[in-house]
Amino acid sequence: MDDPTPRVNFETMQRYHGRKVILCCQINQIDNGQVRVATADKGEVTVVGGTAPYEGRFAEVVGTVLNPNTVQEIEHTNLSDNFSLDMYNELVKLSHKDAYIGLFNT
Amino acid sequence: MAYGGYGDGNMNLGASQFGGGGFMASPAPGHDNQYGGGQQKGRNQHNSLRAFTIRHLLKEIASVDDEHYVADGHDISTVTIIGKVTSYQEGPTRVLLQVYDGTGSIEVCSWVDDMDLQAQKRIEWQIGKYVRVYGNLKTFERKRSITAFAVKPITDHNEVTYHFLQSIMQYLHLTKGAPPMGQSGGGATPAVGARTAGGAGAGLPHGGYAVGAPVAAGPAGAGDIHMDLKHLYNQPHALQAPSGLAVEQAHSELRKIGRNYTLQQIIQACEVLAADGVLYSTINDMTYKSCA
Repeated sequence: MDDPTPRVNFETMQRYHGRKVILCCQINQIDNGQVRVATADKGEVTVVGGTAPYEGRFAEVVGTVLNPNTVQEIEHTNLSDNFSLDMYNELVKLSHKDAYIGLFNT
Repeated sequence: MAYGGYGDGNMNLGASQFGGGGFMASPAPGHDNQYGGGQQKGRNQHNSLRAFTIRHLLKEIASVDDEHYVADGHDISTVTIIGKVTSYQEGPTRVLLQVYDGTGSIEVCSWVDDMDLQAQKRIEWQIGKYVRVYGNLKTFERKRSITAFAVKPITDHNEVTYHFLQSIMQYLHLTKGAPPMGQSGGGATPAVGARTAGGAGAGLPHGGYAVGAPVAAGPAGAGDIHMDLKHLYNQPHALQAPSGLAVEQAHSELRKIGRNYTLQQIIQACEVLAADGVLYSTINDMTYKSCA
């Protein structure tokens, strides 16, 4: 678990096809093992393969990007209900800047 | 949103206050600054606290020896990280955690004497939960780890986002100097490090870094005028002028960048800053210079 796992939104997720990412998102709908979520930049993604229950409005999903709209969940953490997706989105954008590659390695 | 001291009331290390200090900003040896303690003679110890990503701690920091480290040209003493617990090992007097924040993983050693306390830690520091760690960096057999004196569970996950943003902010501040005063698009060149370290707190609330939308230059509150004046008086031209700046000059310079204070407000604010030891009056009661 030492390798960097980039924090992503919908736009940056597209760069990591087949790779593990951290996606913080708002839960829109839960349907039998599939969870439809909204990403920090208002994209829509389906998270599949999760087993633990989702609680609350927000979650941090660690998973593999299967295709532009789907993430295969490895694990997730429920986030507090006051979580700010907007601030998280700004963090995602900053963490992908070349200037901060030493801090994040994305 | 206000990000006051995290954790319980006892752990108020001030790392989350932008203007309240906590990280080493002045590079001049022996130079007193508002962010860290003065340098002790004969020892390279600065009482500073800095937020890092784990990758930054592991890869980008030079070690002077196993106990002394330098990051971005400044000595570091206490560090704080946030991450998920990925492994938990209990020993007779200590707990070993592995903490991962998405950028890297590091071992955290926490000495716990009391068995009851250890039981409580077992509950709070579960695998998969986010924690904040305060401690000191150590190297043993070429492997870096943190000896923690505090490990707190995270309850508000905005703190995680905030910590990363703070790591970026501190990195930028220490490598590129304080942010420009006023709007982030103001065009003023960021001032050079040491001299404006005291004024760094002034620039930050006014959107120096691209975190969300820049703060609009609306009517300023009482707190803002002191920070604006501190920053103005720490500008190179104010520091180099033999008698500093007259209040009228300060008034007109602030108006140029959209800070529409009245002259009376500026006079009163300068008096407060002089009483606090930030400014001192020079040729008359209406002309001040920065003490920095």
